[in-house]
Amino acid sequence: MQKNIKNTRINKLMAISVTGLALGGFALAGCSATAEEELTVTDPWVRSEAGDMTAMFGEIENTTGSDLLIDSIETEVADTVEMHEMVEDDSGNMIMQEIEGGFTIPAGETLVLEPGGDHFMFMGLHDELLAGDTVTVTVHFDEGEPLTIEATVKDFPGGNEPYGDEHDEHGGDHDSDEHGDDHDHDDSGDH
Amino acid sequence: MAESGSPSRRQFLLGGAAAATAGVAIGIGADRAVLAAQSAAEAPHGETVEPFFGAHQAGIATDAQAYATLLAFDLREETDKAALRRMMSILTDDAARLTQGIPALADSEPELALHPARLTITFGFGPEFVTRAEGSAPAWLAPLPSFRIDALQEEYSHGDFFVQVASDDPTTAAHAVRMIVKDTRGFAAPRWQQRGFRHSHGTFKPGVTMRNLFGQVDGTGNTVPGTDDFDYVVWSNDGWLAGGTSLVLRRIRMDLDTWDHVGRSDRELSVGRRLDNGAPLTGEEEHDALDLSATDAGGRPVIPPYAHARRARSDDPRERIFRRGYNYDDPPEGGGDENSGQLFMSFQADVDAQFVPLQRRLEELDLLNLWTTPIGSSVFAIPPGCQEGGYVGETLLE
Ligand code: HEM
Ligand SMILES: [Cu+2]
Repeated sequence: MQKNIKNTRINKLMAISVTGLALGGFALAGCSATAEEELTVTDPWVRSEAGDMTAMFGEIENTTGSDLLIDSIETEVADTVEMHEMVEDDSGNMIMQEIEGGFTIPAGETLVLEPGGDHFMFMGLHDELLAGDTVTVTVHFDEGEPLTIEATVKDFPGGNEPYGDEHDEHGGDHDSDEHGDDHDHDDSGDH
Repeated sequence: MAESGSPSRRQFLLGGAAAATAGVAIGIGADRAVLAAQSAAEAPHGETVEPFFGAHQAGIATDAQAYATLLAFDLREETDKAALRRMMSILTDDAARLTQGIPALADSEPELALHPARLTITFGFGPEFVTRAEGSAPAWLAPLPSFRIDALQEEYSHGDFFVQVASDDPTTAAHAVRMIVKDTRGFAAPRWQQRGFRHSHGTFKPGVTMRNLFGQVDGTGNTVPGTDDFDYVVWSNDGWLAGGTSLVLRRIRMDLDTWDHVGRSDRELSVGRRLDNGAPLTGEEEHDALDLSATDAGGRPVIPPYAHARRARSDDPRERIFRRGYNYDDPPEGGGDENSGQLFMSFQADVDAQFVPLQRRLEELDLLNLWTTPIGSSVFAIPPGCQEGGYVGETLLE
């Protein structure tokens, strides 16, 4: 959390940078990768959670010049990390499901992970994730070096993501009462 | 995937610049370009930012913004030193972004963050915060001694953690308050919120002294930010508080109904200053010297013994404070039709050495006491500022 890494989001007009952000160093093995060919990660954050599952958000910009395919993701704080997208179910509700084959990030484009949209899903949290903690996440691509991201944990009450019963529809085997409203701290001893 | 869904924050930030470039690219005429440059020079006030990082926190020496929301919280039982570190890291990040017009991390209303209008967010610690941080508190970090004139209400007093959110735009301020409240929630429960205002941005030229709701020019006899004197009066040199200061916040009700019965000349005598321009009764212009020894033809002091400005001035140069208050005008309570006053705020290096003696003098004698009643009182330690990569409170918490 004390890492002093440049906030890639802030342009020259607003020449400041703030804490808690990550710049992922990246080079494509086997290609003619130069130093500028980096992946840029902006504002990575993970929703604080006392239950079994949570999600990571942020933006990953592919400045490498080649298309990228995310192969797998790992973190020390959860058993597994899945790549999820939001889709409409038969009754018109938005639910999340694992994306087939993983996220691709075409050259020059940005993968936007945001509440209510694409996200990295942490399943089987080992410990409670507390606001202000930092979580290390490693993203493996189908080729090249992995990307390491330091994400800030934040309390986040909204986003309208069906973490509750709906989540089971894509094969989760967790108790629905472990997520959803229980990260609302109003009456809480969560922290 | 990329750029789908809601616009990314990068788009917010780059949108203006991209549009400007496009204007040049399509080759607008020279006159129009000059006009565009002129209006760009007069960018809307919403884009004006106050720096966040620095030796001192912003929001103290900062020329006072039009609106302020003051918030106090009580720490939750389980909030220990490690939790305070996490809390202050998160809140520092929020403040560093929002004050520069950048949405907070996980900001649900990012559009509301884009026009800071000199937004500042200032943090303060009550005694319990310092205890939980296992730090040593300055002796003055405690409720003030009681004063005869006080009629204090708990709901406007004290607290473990304090935040001042101030901006020239009330919508911006409300959003920043919301973000701070959401990110404090896990660590502390709201205790009170008090809102104050001054003249709007643009009503006067910058540097004009505000008026309070008695109609008085209020803030003339004040040490001036940017001077050695200000540094001497305001900033502490003490341990983790070095570069910080103390805040005394007094919610002082002003009884506009009884004030209505006072004639203009008595109103001026009660302070020792004129109402039209704030000049001392011994001078012509606002900043003319207040001559406490001047007498009239009959040998009586021009500035009466009971006058507020006389009583508020001590012979001891250490007994001075920096006042940066706000008016309040809230909905009437309990069947009354009036609920106005002043969020009196003063910053000083040492509350006991500087503020308390002045308040004692005013308690003993001050004609303004007839129409004013302190109904809330709090004291907070305001830690120093931080540099990029650090956080407010690190001198206490690390
Ligand atoms: C609602 C309550 C109050 C009102 C309406 C009020 C109003 C004023 C006014 C009109 C002046 C003269 C203009 C100026 O120099 O700013 C003044 C001066 C001052 N007031 Fe107050 N005041 C209040 C409470 C207090 C309190 C509680 C303190 C401190 C304990 C205080 C300390 C001072 C000081 C230090 C000055 C400057 C004196 C000097 O010229 O050296 N005031 N106040
Ligand atoms: Cu999911």
